[in-house]
Amino acid sequence: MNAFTQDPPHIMTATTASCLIRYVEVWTPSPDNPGQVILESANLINPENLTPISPSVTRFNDGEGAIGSAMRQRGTVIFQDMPCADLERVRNETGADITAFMAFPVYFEDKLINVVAFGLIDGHGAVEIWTRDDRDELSISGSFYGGLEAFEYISQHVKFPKGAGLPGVCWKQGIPKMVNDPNGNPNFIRSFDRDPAKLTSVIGLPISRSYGYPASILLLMSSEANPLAKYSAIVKVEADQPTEEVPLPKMQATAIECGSNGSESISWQQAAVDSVANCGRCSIVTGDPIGDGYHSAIVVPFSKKGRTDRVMILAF
Amino acid sequence: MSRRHDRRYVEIANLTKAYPNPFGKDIEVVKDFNMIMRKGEIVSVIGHSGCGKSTVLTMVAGLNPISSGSLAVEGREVSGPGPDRAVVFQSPCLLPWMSTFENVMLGVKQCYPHGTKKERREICEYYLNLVGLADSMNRYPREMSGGMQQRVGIARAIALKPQVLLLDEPFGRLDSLTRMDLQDVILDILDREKITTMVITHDVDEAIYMSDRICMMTNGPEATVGQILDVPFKRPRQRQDVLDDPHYYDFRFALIAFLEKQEHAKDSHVAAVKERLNAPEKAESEVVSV
Ligand SMILES: Nc1ncnc2c1ncn2[C@@H]1O[C@H](COP(=O)(O)OP(=O)(O)OP(=O)(O)O)[C@@H](O)[C@H]1O
Ligand SMILES: [Mg+2]
Repeated sequence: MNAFTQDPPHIMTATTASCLIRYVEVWTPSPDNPGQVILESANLINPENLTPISPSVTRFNDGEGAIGSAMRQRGTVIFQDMPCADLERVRNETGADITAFMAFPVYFEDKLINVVAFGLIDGHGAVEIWTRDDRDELSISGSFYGGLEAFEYISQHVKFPKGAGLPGVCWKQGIPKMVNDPNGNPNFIRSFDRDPAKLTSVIGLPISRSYGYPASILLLMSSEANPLAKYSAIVKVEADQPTEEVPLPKMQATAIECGSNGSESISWQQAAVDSVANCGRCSIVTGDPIGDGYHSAIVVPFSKKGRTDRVMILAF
Repeated sequence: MSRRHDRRYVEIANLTKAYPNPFGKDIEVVKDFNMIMRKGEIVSVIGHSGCGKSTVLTMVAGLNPISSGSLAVEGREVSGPGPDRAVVFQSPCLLPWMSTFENVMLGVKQCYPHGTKKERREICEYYLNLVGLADSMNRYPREMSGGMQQRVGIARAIALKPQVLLLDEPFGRLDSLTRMDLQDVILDILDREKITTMVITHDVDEAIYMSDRICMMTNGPEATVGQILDVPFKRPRQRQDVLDDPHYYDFRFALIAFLEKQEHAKDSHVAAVKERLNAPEKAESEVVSV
């Protein structure tokens, strides 16, 4: 059995704790200007529903603002303390207590399909950006931590060569990975149990590619007090042959590779996967197809060898 | 440090060692080990007994052939032992019928074939003096304690003017006072001579005090780098300053937590590797050992 997909010893149930992700934006390349992205959807994530927001800015050029920077760098950007126009904008427009703003590009092979942005609350949990350095090791180039002081200190001195630790495995295999119960999981190597935040799951996402390898790895960490989302999972899919016109064709969800409920399937996993195939990129699903006590979900596809082979689901 | 080779002085890529297995497929004790050492850097390697630390070190020394991957020192592929790399093992293996001085001279003669007798003598004396054996040059190994013998072993290795020093649990057999003494002797020499050094140890405090980086190895089989920790304390170091640093215990904790987790996962790791070897068609999608 693949150690990453092992069920945690205790099955975690959908939680009522407030989610680390409080706000989401999805941007798509402009059809008439490839150097631009336009807003597709912006939403405040509430416990009971999703509130659509109409941001004052709906278009970014390559390199402009947090969104344009993620596009330019082909990697994740995160803003917390330093002045960031987008963080200010989101705080003002939502009136919510958002303390960090992050954005990452989503590619199908080498083609940009979205930039996804999250607004995070001031809670327990962490986001780390691991970038390849001149020794071919991954080191942290950007981060957000809540309730993880000792972990934060030591992590800035930690390096992972290819294949080592969760970031190194995502790099080596070029696929998203999730581990539950990181403290008990030998595949999550760092220890954090001196800190108040109790991490419950970690998702590693390979972001963009150069020379066939991810340029950086994004780590999203849920805590007991503040999971990223009410439910999160990496789902393995089998996709039809993609074409120029339909890069993300029909796909079949084959298994929950790892979810915050273990590998237990959810009734709407196929609906989530269909939503990505239908629009050909990341989707935000609300209403009908979603069940089991969730009101909406963000679904992000990841490709390998010319096909979508996994999707990340974050449900609220 | 701008020269490419200085920044990647020792370059270990996907280093793998497989030993024949009478019951089936070869056993890869070390698999896909990756590490780059800068010139002059001191790197400790820690990991559970039997994980493959000595295997990695002896491959770098050129004493143990590699099964796959690559291994280069200053851009040159390692294909066997060479004068650019010196090794010190747990027991110094001195020749019992030779004095301290003669034991060191043995290597110096080979290393400086064109030096005069006087020059060679000075080299031996210089390094024996550095390790604190100025007064024991004429003693025989049987007349010396383990700690003193290990000093001879260190002097012998360093007198060869190696570019790379490979230390395999050099203080493993010594009491803690002698150990601390010899740590300082080595650090003093390394700070002077800027020799790129790999040191295997089971002692987390030794790893923190001595090294610029600590490489934590996962369990075998298929042992590899689990993570690397940069130790930011400035060199040369004073033991007390290091111990007094408020972050000392963060490092200590990280190392112990790593070892504990590896210990805990030992059985499941072995089982997972076995299962993967029995189902090779699944190998591609499976997780590499981490
Ligand atoms: N010649 C050999 N043939 C087969 N297996 C070997 C051989 N040499 C070593 N091994 C195996 O390789 C593994 C790694 O051994 P190695 O000596 O490198 O470990 P180590 O980490 O240095 O251990 P220790 O901390 O006890 O010194 C062990 O399981 C050992 O049994
Ligand atoms: Mg050994």
